[in-house]
Amino acid sequence: MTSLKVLYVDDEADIREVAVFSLEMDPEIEVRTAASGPEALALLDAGGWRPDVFLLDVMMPGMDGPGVLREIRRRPAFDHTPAIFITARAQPREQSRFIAAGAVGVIAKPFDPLTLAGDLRAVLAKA
Amino acid sequence: MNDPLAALRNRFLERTRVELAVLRLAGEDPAAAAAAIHRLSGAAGVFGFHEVSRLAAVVDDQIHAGQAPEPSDLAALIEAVERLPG
Repeated sequence: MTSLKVLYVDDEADIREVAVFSLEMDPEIEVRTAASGPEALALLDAGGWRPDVFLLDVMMPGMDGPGVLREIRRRPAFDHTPAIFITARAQPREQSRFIAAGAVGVIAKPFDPLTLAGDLRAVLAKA
Repeated sequence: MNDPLAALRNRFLERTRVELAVLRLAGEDPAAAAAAIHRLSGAAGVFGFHEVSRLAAVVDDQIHAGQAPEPSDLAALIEAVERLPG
């Protein structure tokens, strides 16, 4: 059984709660969350837990999702770890912009809590 | 039928009821209202309240464009929040 470690970064507490619940309905997924980019980077820099994929909200105060990804990529240990943006702006043109920013895909927000884990795996399978 | 999201949805609704006052007083505390609107824009749809999510996104976009919320759009959002269950 393969486990998949996901770091989910979103400033909205409600959505973090639902995302954890939704993703962990898949018993092979383990989730940690951060409420901001700096919190996520601090978690990475602390070492000890290494995510297999980043799931990043785009619109966050301070450091937005693309900004978080830029900082992640500056860390050699995570310069190739897949990242997926989660955003209300998931139209094709916007998706192209996010792919160009280094993401492997985009999940539309609001997401369906009952399919989020499958949606994430589908994006990774296409990457 | 068992709803696996019921507890989380109820907590969202409780928070939203508290934030309804913030929306009604948006003119007095625009920053607090903007935060509540952004939260509704993102979270309401996840819990299946798509009309609230859509209306909140309209106002959220106005705020992010540097505009004051259109009063009629804000009023429509408040009315939709008032119609939420509970």
